[in-house]
Amino acid sequence: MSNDLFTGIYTHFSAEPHNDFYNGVEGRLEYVRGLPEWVDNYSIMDGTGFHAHDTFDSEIDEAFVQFSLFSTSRLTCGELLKKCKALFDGVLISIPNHYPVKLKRELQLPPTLSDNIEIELWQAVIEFDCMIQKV
Amino acid sequence: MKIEWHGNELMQVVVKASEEASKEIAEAIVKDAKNNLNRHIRRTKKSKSRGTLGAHIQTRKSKFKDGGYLAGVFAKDFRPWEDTLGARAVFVEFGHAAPYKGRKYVTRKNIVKHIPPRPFLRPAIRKHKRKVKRTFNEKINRYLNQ
Repeated sequence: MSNDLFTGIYTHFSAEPHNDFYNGVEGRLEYVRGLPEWVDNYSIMDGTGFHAHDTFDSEIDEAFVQFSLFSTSRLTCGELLKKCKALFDGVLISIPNHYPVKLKRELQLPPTLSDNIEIELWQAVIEFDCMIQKV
Repeated sequence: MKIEWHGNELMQVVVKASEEASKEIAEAIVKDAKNNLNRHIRRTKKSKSRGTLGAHIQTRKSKFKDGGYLAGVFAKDFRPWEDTLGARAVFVEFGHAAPYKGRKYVTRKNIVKHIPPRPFLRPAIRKHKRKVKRTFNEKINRYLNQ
């Protein structure tokens, strides 16, 4: 279930023609850890929880997906946050083997300075909530 | 026909019941958040944690009138731009960038890796979100039936 969800999100993110968020991070979106060479303008997605919402005859999961957005500029970080919200909030996303999923914004953390950092690296967080059901 | 209206008394009962309910829920959230945090710490092999963060997950009475109770990390030294306890709580909850392969600081030439989020407060809040209405109803019913 989770693999299909992240595949669907990535497909939506990288769909052509490229959206503002894709152009803002130059296609740099990975699951859990970023690539070593990424320093500026990149994003990472994490699954922060999958809760069972099963009914008598169907298997439903409530999933929480978090996007962390990093940039060396505070303003760019805020812009990335805005673009990420515009791309995913309230949008139906096609997921392999599942009904289309609607992401709903759960919480948002404005740009804050990251930890143990010599350079200024700003981090913003946005989390989405969605319900997934197999076809 | 005579109708007796105990508006003020009823209001007092509702306020008292809602305060008790919010305190009970806040305490349950704190307990779960501490358990979640301990679970994350146990998973880390070389943890240097001394349990300071866990000790600061507390309930507090809101400073506003009839504001109920708050649950969260309450540190005196909350300065997000410095390495303080409050700032660390945010980074544990949401994840953060970190130096690669044991280096002390990330520099522009150095390489960045990402420490994944270890949410402890969010799952606890979600778990008790559904119980809020039921707890309020129970408390109010108990007072009204007395």
